[in-house]
Amino acid sequence: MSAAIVEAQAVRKAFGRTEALRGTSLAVDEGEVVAVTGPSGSGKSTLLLCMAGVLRPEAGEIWYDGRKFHDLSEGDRTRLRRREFGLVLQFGQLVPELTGAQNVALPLLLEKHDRGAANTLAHGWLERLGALGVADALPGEMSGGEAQRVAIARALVTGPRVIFADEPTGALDTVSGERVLGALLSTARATGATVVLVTHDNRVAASADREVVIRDGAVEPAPVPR
Amino acid sequence: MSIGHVLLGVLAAGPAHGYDLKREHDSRFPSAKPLAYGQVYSTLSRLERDGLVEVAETSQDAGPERTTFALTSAGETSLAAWLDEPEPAGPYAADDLVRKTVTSLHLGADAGDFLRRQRAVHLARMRELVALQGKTADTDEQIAVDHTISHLDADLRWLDTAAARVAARGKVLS
Amino acid sequence: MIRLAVTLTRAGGWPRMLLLGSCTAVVCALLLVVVTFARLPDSPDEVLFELVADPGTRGGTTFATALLTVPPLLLLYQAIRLGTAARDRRLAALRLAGATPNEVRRLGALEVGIPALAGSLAGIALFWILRQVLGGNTMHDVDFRSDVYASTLTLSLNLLPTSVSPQWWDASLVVIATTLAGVFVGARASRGVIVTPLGVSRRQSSAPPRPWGVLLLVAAALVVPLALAVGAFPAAAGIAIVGLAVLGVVGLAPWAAYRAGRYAESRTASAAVLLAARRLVADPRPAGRAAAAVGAIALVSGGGAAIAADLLAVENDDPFYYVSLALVAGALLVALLVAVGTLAVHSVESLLDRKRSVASLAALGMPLDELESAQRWEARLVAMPIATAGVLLGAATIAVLGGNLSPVGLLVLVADVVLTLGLVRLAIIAAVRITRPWAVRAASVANLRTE
Repeated sequence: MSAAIVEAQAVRKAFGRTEALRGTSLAVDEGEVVAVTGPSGSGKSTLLLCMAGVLRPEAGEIWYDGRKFHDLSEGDRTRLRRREFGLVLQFGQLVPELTGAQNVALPLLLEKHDRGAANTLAHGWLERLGALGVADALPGEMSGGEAQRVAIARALVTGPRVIFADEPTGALDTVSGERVLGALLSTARATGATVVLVTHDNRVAASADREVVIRDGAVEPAPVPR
Repeated sequence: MSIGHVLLGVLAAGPAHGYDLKREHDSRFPSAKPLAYGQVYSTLSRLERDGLVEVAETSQDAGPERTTFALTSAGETSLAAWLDEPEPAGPYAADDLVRKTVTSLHLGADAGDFLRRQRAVHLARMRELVALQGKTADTDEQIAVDHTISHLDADLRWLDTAAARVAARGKVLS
Repeated sequence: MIRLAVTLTRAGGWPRMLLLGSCTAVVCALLLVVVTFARLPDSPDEVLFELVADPGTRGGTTFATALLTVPPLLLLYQAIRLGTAARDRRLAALRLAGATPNEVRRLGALEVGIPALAGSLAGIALFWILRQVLGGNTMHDVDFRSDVYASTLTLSLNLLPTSVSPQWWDASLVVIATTLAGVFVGARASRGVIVTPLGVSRRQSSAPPRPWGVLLLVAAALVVPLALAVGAFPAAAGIAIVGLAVLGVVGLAPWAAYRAGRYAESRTASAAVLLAARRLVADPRPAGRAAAAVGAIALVSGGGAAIAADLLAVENDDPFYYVSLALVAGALLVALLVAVGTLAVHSVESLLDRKRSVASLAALGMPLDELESAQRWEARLVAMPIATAGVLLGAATIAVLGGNLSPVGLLVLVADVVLTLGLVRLAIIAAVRITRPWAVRAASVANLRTE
């Protein structure tokens, strides 16, 4: 619990009768980039969503910045999430009716920022990620890579301390994925943000500082050095 | 042998010393094992014997590293023929990795740990290569590294599949 | 084929089927009432409320009753569109399994037709119940010499003639017509959907709606000088005005929705309003239609208030007029309830179509309250302007025609405007509140799961 900025302790989470997580623990230090890998259905996305405060575990604890996170009220958790976390998901994450810039500005508007300032920040982040061209386009008009970059801009616009990303390059080919991941990681390292990445792509896992393997709802033990 | 053809390709740009050839090979294939001098010269002597390469000039203190080699017309033809013909797709079954993994799985004990260790090693290597790729802006180098990364990726996925099959059928193979 | 259609209908869910059936039942019952009015001879053989008994006003009453079918028809349209995405996927799966486009179209028609038919048949029963409750008494039941007679004539609730009944072929015609109306509406709701074996793609009607409704409103306004030029001001002209005005408002609604969205999106700093405004700009037609019912109601409310004000000015004490107005107010309240229904149905449709993005909004940090606020704004941005325009238009037109406006009358008008708009606001709040369970379900993280 020393330098860990976000930590899951013995988390259990079930959906109906299926147990997705069976007492999983994971500690992430500030500024680290951690890749969470494992076969499909292993529970890695569930772990990510629990650590990001989107899902409430049945048992176990989630700590953020030394504070207990899991037993905050729904409203407090939502507000904390909005301010300190960035969330990038694989599909269906941009609001289809809003333009690229409006999508990026949305977290700021939710925090009651001034409209002009929110707009400026949004355009700034889109430019930094090379997606300024789709600022006025609708998600339906964007390519997969562009949409993903807009989603990452949205995750970064509030200057989060922790970024949770679930298969951020899942729908992309190698070169686009490399560009998108590069944008995410370079920004994170520049601002000192922590990144927790769920992926099944070995390349993405190799871009992280370390890898944690989840299998059947539990963390696989680290290999014993010989 | 492919190393020979790589050296022919380097010589196509102009005559060079053995040392230059080694340096150029390593620079073109940063993720491959660096070429040993012994291998360079044994390859060069074979190429010379086959008439694909000739000694252009020897300097005064004649040592192998001072000898300048050059491409012959036969060498040019051979190089062109090699480049015309695509590489066969496999098989890689004789690979050392496969031999080791299969043996370990046959023995049964601690196969899971072996696979985890192997994955860690492969992933660490991939991490190095990804970092390397990130530092260079040269597309040709990136393409060469991509090949190694893709193969490491294939090996990793193969290790995952092996682990899954083992988990499904029990630890002992036969 | 029929069995498959029944299975499909059941797959659509019980609430939707019930809603479909109820709408056709109400429409069928109302049409049977219209038929009964039409069959009434000039001097009816029974004691009836004056609006119905007097052949002069009967035309207007018949027309008003016919107009009352508009809100349920609008609700029917909404109900059919509910769960359209899932329905389209079902039909696409059928195509993939080998059904020809004609077969799919036929199945689609049956899928709507069966509940519509069941509803129409239920409508006959509904009509019969209405007759028992609201029916008139035949002449020999009334004691002419009693003092009660005079007041009975105007204050009794003898609304439906019992001396005449729709014939079996009248009833069959109404049932067939109602069923066909349901099928037609269902066909229109599927219009623009290309169901190919590769899936469903909705033809993107990206062209913003045009204000064609203004033409109808202009036409309604022109009826007045025309009628005056012709000389008399028969009930027919009044009917024409009301009819054209209502159709005008209904037609203008999608355009109003679009413009409201565009106006709000560039002026707001609130996430909820931005979301609502952009939804309106992206898809103005459904929201417009949902609010159209509200507009039509407001129009009639304004006109009715103007008539009441006019009566007050003339100091006409005949209870007949006031009771009639009370009836109209009652009908309006019922219609308002139906409007709540259309707004709620639209709200649910909006949520169901956007499950994934609602879920990611919730995950991003948009609390349920703000999501509901966006739903309310989506309705409010359209319904409030339309209702305001409607009630003012209705009041202004009748006031101009009537000409007598006392201070008390003006007070009545103002009170009506405030009351109407307040009721519309309440209706919106109620509609969104009713749909909270769907909002909760849409925001559920389960919609995000890809594993």
